[in-house]
This record gives sequence, C-alpha cells and structure tokens, in this order.
Amino acid sequence: MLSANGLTKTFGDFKALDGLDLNVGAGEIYCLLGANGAGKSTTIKLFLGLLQPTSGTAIVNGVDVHKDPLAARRRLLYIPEMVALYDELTGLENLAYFADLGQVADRSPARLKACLSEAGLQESAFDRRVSFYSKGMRQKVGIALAIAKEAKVLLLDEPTSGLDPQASAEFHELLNRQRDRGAAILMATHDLFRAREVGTTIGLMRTGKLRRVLPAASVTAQDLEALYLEEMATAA
Amino acid sequence: MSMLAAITRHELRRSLRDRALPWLIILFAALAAYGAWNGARWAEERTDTVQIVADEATDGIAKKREQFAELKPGATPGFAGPQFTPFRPVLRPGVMAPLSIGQAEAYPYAARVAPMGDIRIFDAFKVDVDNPAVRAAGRFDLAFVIVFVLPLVLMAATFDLWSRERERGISAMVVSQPVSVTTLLAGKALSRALVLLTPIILATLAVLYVAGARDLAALAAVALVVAAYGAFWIALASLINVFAKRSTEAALAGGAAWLTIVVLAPALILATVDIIVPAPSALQFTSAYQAQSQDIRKAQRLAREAKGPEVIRDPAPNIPDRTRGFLKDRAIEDRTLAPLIRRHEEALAERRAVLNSLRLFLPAVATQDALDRIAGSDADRALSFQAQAMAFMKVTKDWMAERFDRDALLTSDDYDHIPKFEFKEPPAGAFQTGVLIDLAAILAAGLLLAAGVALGRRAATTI
Repeated sequence: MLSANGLTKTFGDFKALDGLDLNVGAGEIYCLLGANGAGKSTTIKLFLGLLQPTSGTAIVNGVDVHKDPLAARRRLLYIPEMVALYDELTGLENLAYFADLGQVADRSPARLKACLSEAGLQESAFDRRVSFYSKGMRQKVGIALAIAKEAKVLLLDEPTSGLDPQASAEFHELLNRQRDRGAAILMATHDLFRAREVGTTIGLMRTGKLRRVLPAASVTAQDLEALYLEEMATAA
Repeated sequence: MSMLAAITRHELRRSLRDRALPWLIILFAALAAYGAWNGARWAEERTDTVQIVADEATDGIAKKREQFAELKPGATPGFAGPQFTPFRPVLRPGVMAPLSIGQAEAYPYAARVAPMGDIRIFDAFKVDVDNPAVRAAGRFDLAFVIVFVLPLVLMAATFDLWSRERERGISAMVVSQPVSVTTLLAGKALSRALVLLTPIILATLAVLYVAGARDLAALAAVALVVAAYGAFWIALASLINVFAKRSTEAALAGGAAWLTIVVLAPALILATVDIIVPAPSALQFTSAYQAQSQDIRKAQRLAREAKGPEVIRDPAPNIPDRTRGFLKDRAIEDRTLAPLIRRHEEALAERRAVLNSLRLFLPAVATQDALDRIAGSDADRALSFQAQAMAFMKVTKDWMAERFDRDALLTSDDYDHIPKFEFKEPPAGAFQTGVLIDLAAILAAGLLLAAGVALGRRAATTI
C-alpha cells in the first residue's frame, strides 16, 4: 500500500532523508519515531508529493507519487499535527469541501453526517463554526474525511501532539478502526508509549536514516524507551 | 471542471461571510459616485464653455443678418465680404465625458477660423495647474477611482488569497487532496473576481448612468475594461500568493506592486521617453514660426510697395484686388511655413507613437487610455478635432477663394449655406481600435501573470 525505495531528499548539502526503504501494508500502523529533524516529516511530504525526491521512489497504492501525485492522493489522507480548517465554516461545510476536493463518491449531507458521527463528533457540533472546535474535534473532522474517502493510506504527522489523554485515547481508537478497515497508516510521532500501543511496526529514525525497525509487539515500553534513548545518545 | 466549480462555490460561500468585503465595495462605490459626480460637473462646465464659443459664431451671423436688414436697397456693405464670416469649430464633450476628464484639459476645444487668418486657429486654453494634487494624479474622476483605487480595493480583498491558509495551516489539508494547485488558485481567483467585480462593475455603471453617461455600448465597454483590469489585479494577487507564505509578506508585496504598476512605472517610463524622445519645444516652434512669418510678410509688403500705388479697375470689383492680393500672399505664406509645421508635428507624432506603444506594457496606463477613449477625453480625439478644424479651415479658404473668383459678396440668405463644421467622432465609438488594443494589452498582462502562477505552482504547495 505504501512503500519507499531508496528514498532520498537533500536540501543543498543537507541530507534530510537518506535512502529510506519502508513498506506499510494494509491493516498496518507504522510508527516513525525520532527527534526533530530526523526526517519524519520529510518522509511524509515525499509521500504526499509535496517535495520532489532527490532519488528513489515513493509508492502509494501502487502509484508512483512523483509521476502522478493526484492519483496517489485520491485514496490517501493526511492529518497534520494541527488539523486546521476554515474557521468561518461549520464542521459539516468543511467536510463537504474537503470531500469535494478529495473527489469522494458519496458527498450527500446524510453520508457526510454519518462520517462525522462515526468519527465521534457530536451531532450538535456539525453545524457549528469550527472556530469553536477544540483540537480534538478538528482531528475528528480529519478522521471523518478519511472515512468519507475510504482512504487506503493515512499519513499522520504528530496527530496527538497537544491532545489531552482522553482525546488522544479516542483518536487512537479511531485509528485502530481505520487499521481494522484495512488502511495502511504511517504515523510520525514523539509519543513512544502510544506508538508501541497502537503501532504494528516501529521505525526509529535519526539524521534522515531509518536506524531500526521493530515489530511493536516485540518490545516493551521500557525497552523501546531504552532503544530510543540509545539512538538519540548516538546522535549526540 | 467540476473541481473548479466546487472550489469556486466553496470560496463564494467563504467570501459571502467575510465582513470586510461589503465595506470595501461600499467604499469603492462611494468614491466612484464622487468621481462620477466630479466628472459630470466638469463635463457640464465644459459643455457650457463650448456653447458660449459656439454661440459667439451664431450671434455674429445673427448680427450680420440684422445689419443686412437695416441696409437701404441697392447698398453694398463692406461687411458682406466673405472674409468677414465668423467660424467657430468646437469640440463638445462626449456622452461619456463624466467617466474621465483625461487628456481633455491638455488640448484646445475650440478654434477661431478666420478665412484670411493663419494656422494659429485654436483658442488659448487654461488648465487648472494650481492644485499640486491635480498635477500629480490628475482629476478625481471615475477613471482615477478605477485606475488608482480599484487595485487597492482588490488587493485589500485578495492579498491573502492563499497565504492566509498557508499561515493558518489549512493549506496542508488542501494540498494533500487530489487537486492541482493551479485549479485551486484558479477557483479562488474566479470566486473573488465574481464576488468583487460584479458589484464593482454594477456600481461603476450605475454611477455613470446617474451622472448622465448613458451610451449602452460605451457602458458595455467600461464594464469590459473594469473586468479586464480587475482580473489583472486578481491574477497578480494570485501570483503573489504562490510565493508568499505569510499574509504580511503578501500584503507588502501587493502594496509594492500597486506602487510600482500604478505610480512609479508610468512616471519612470515617461521620464525615460522624455530623455529618448523629448517633446519638441512649443516655445521654440512658436518663435521660429513668428520669425519666419514676419520675414515673409515683410518681403510681401516690400514687394507690394515696389509695385507702386494700387490701380483700381473700372468698373471696380465688389471685392477689392488688394484683398485678393492679400489672400494670395497668405497662401504663399502657408506653403512656405508648411515644412516648419510639418517637422514640429512629426516630432510630436513620433513621441506620441512611442508613448502609445509603451502603454501596452503598462496595464494602469492602458486602462486609463481605454477609459479616456470611451469618455472621448483622449488625445486622439482632441488631435482629430485639431485635424478636422484645420481641414475645415481649408474648406473655408476654398469657399472664400471661389467667392473671390466670382467676385461674389455675401447676402443675408448666403448665411444658410456657408460651410459648417461638424466634428466626426472616431468610427466604432466606444469599441474603437484603441480601446480594443488597450483591452488586449490588459488581458495579455493578466494572462502572463496567470502563466506565472502555473509555472510557479510548486512553490504554492510548500507547507
């Protein structure tokens, strides 16, 4: 569903990503861990087709992102750290617009409301302007879009950063549902414990390279923390 | 296409909830109304002035008819010589004059054609140059509001066309959807154009209509010019938003673009033209003309004196031979001075041609030019009046020469058949070639900016 083959991105002399090889299959949550500047966000931008790779390929749903970025984005959803929406529009109007942009097949209000409900947004919030929404509510609109798009691939960049524990737990529950639906999920995060909890695979990145790849089930939270700190210490 | 429609629809919904937009449109409408009122007032004053001049000729003829009526039967009055007939060609303001005062104050609008006079037929005229604001930016007419204020209104409403979304992080969600940035920006620009330009054009047409400018074809031409000029500025805002990641950057760039395109570039181009193709000195021309004219007349006077006293034929003609001789001398003088005049006019024409072609690279100047032409306050119309007045002077001279040949004095009834000046407007009216060229230039500039948006689209996806 999602694969990178020798994916490299340099900015002048700086190598932001160095020969990344990665595969995320259907029903898998791949968590990328690493300090700031490790190359996590660059990886996501390359999968989105917002950056041109210096070399290598990024494949989404069998489509080379850089040859046909629009086709690659058709069944893909990106949720950034802060799901920013149009404040002057309601949650439903925002979803309707993004559903239009995402070329969602069924964009009827009934279907979109069902998606918002499935994402856990209260019905009373559908027609309220999103300027009144909390961060968690905005993330739910993002997930509702994933549901509406029937996204096969989710790219998440620090999606739970700044969420309170309850909202974070709810978000990960929604993520699990997407995984169970067969979506391939790549999530960049700093949250080691959540990564181990929801992830199926964990990749540790440092200075643009994927240093370690671990099945999430194979490590305890303490082991993961130790490994992470060890990697970061190597970097220092 | 459906994607473009979806984006446009969404942007329309957003725009209609924008509280600042109605105020911007109201501001424009208020300034446009004031500009049109100013233009209408000017047109009224000019019409009255021109009428006074025209009445002068009519009154002159009426007076002559009264004198004829008072004559005793069989009397031959001195004033019946055709050379004493008054002619006053005038250039009346066009129907659309309230739109733009334009170049109308820089050219004469009336001539005094004396059949035996020289070519200096145009009335001295005075331009209001006392007010420095008028000198710097012209009159505060509707054309000024369109050329100077409209871009500011459009920039204020579109400077953050995309940069606001980038600043707020919404762009990340948008560009991750299967939509090209070119389509996205086109949809945004289209919706802003609809929301802003529709009421702006309607307001412009409404104030013009109220001000008395009611030529439908001309109103359509004004709508097209405003739409094209507005589209140019919205395309420029789109281009700025391809590169600006912050609204403050976009606002600064928009302000700088306005200053450059509307104020600095026209001034710099004019200054450059002044150096490369300087305007011929009117003072030098007048001095040379007068000096040469005096030399010719002196030589003619000496020649007449050398011939000795005039011999009066028997029977004496109605029109004295001395007057005929004077007419011949004038014809010689005209022929002798023609090369001097031609050189001066060619120098003026060369400079005008350079300025005319450069306007095509300056959308603000092309817009002003188009509005001036539609209003009939452009240089070409004024020059056409001059050319037509000069041609009319030849007609009056030929008419007089023919009466001289027949030795025919004027009678009261002849005044119904004397040559009459009637200004011929440029063909095609508001859609004359000059306006179409201006429109093409403005549209080409807009398309160039749109091409810049398409070429720079990748920069717009940076999140």
